[in-house]
Amino acid sequence: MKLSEDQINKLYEFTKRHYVEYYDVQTELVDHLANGIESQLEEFPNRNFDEALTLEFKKFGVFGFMDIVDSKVKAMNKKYRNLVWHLFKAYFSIPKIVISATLLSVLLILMKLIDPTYVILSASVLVLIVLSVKIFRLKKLQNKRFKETNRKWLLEDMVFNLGASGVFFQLFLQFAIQSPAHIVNNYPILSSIVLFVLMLFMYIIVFVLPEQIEDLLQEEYPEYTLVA
Amino acid sequence: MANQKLFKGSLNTIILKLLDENGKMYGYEITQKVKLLTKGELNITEGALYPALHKLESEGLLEVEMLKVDNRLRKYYSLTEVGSKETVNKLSELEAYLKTMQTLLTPKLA
Repeated sequence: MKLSEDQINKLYEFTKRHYVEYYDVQTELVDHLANGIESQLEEFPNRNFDEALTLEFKKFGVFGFMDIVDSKVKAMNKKYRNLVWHLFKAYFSIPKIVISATLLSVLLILMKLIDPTYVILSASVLVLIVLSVKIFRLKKLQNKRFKETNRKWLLEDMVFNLGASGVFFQLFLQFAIQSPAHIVNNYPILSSIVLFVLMLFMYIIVFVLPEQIEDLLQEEYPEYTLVA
Repeated sequence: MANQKLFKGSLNTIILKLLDENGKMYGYEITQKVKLLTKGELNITEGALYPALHKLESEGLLEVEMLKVDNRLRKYYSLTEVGSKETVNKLSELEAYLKTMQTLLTPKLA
């Protein structure tokens, strides 16, 4: 006996109730539960859907779906870091290296013309403003996308939450605020490179990845186009 | 039932070997296949199988395909080219391990 569409929807609701919020993870679990339930109903025709579901869920152990969600988040974190790294590397090969070289030169010239400490402080204030505005806009866009489809994808969540890169931005601010003036003044080239690298990472995480979201989801999830 | 802990370290090799033999498989199918092949001796738990599959996928050893089957979507896993090579390595590692264990457990007296 095959489960009906209604029963499959019930399974999606069931996974949501058990803290699986991402559609991609839900889908795999729903199919697994459905297979188990179908096999039980075939073997024990007197059993009903809910009883079979309870028994099937018990097989996942005391932590339920938690380990599976965790493993998926870990795997996706790795994927996300690879995406960022891949885009970052592109700025050091032709043709984008031209942009990098130009920006780095501009930074170096600024460091020569103005007090390097001011350059770093101004850059960090600018980063803070841009970051605040962008985070607000991304959150709004994410909510809008969720309202339209009622589905949340793990990769999408990571991209819109900037890959939980709070630590990275903190590092940026620490560098900006804590850099002792004598180091910045004595090593303007090194300071420019560090500042450039940090800003480039920020640009990729905050601007490039969110703009590519549709392509990223289509590439990552074969089911994305099937349900969109 | 056999000691599940002994199998734990070989879970990835078991998955890779099954995919090598069967082409593409989905999660539930893997659990059932293992149960069938081992006549119920080995029971791969859901909580161990999916994390292993996700890890192998993130390492680029597996690729996925989604198909619509009976009112729902099904995720099929199959080996990538790197995954096929890794299967050979893992199997020879396991064979070497089994040989070592055999030597340890049944030492030949000189």
